[in-house]
Amino acid sequence: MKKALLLFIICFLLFPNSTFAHTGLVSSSPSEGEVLTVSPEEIVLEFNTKVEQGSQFQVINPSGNGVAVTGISVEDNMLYGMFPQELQGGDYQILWNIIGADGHPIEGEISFTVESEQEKTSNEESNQIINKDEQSIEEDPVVVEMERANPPAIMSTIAVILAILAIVSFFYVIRKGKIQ
Amino acid sequence: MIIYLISELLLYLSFAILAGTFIIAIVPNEKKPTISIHKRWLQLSILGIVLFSAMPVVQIVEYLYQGVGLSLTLTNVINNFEVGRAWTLILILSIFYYLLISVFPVQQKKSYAVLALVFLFILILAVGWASHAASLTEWSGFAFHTTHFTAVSVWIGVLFIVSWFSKDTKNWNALLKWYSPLAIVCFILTMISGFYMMSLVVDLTDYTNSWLLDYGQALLIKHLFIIPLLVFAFFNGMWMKCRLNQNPQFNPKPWVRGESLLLLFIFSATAFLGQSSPPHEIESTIKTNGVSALFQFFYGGTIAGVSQVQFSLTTFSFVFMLLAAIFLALLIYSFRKKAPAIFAFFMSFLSVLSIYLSFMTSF
Repeated sequence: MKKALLLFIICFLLFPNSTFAHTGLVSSSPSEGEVLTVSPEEIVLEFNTKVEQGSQFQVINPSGNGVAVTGISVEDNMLYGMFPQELQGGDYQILWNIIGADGHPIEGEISFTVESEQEKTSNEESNQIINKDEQSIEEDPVVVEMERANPPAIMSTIAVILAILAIVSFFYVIRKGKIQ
Repeated sequence: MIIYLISELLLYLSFAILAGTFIIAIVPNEKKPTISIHKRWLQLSILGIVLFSAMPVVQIVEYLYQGVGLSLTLTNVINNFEVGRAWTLILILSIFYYLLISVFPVQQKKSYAVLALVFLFILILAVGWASHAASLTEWSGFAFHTTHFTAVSVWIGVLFIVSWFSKDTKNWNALLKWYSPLAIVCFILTMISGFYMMSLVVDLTDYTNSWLLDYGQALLIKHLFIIPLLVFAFFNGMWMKCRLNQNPQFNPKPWVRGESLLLLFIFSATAFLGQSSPPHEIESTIKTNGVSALFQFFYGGTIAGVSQVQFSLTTFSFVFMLLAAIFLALLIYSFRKKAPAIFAFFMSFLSVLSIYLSFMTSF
């Protein structure tokens, strides 16, 4: 058993975690959380393996509707698409669903923000104030107490049932031994 | 979802039945009980491999066909997708395999049985290709998956055949003599390859955090079932010899059947693993797939992120751990006291449930 354990450890040391079994997003443009000052012209999603044909994405605008995207195409591990129109200011989401090389459909989302002309000017003016605000947020994080019914009331019932089963089984085994 | 799960489970069983049959066929008659497997079972298993390994293809077609049309999608997936190509290979191999088994005396002639085993290994490679196309360049993943699948098929296949297809229990000790070492080797190979594959997907330090996801839940349940499985394996491998020496009339079959049933649970959990998103990045997986419903049930509150969930001992987790210890003790005691195997199986199940509840209440 000791030898097995040793082999176990050696194997674990020999093969560091470097590979992933399923396809995932490596990088994107725009990237997650990016704030753009100009409307993006295209979207590029890069994955860690080849993605199959039929992989696609949607872009959702601040009011929750789909944005027109043209020329969605797949090339090896890249997924491309273009915006025919300029995007208005606001928060956008890219919802991607792809089929990885191993046939697993995988989906995810990326949020990015396009600043409108107004925001841009006001941001420049109030940059200092924002910085101050950010600092104060970091200094005293808002602690939200989550209300939890833990453990759920049913747990005590389960515990009692299991305890009764344990006692019954115990006497069963004891009697079994006496009979034979 | 459930249909994919069941088909995955049946795929494992098909491979196990074929592997078990042909290994048993190679073993000389004086080292095994009387076993007869109708040819129909083998043919069904091959049909099962074709049908159940097609599920990933069905899944993609189901995902894509809207707008494009069913037949066009189907031809596209089969011709252009890695999964489709792998399945075409499986189909072609299976046709030849079916003919081999139907026409030749594969169970009677050892040379044919060996040929059938080689064929089966090629099929395992093909299935490995289908499920690991993404990491085909990373040969280690493919190699470990194949090792895992082969070792499990051999170990569990023989167990299944012996427990469900044997006509009597003669030569049982002779059977244990060759099967026990084989099972131990297969188990170690399974464990090492399984451990390696797990390390690709779950960071070991994230093991408890992964319980927030369906994947982690299935992984935990799978691992917990290994505990009573080892106890059963110990009964069947070691204590059974003494029991049979004392009382040659003793019927060991219910006990191996109990072990094979525990393995069915492990297979089911594994099938579930294959179908759920692996937790490479737990935080982002929670974002896209949500927290596991099971975990949510036990945790009770809303979960904002991984860091919020802390592992700690609670009264409930202590109570459940104590119950688990009692059930495990009763499991061991039940064999000594000659209780029926079904009772031991029941104890195994309760001990797994208790350990699971103990973990789930320790947050």
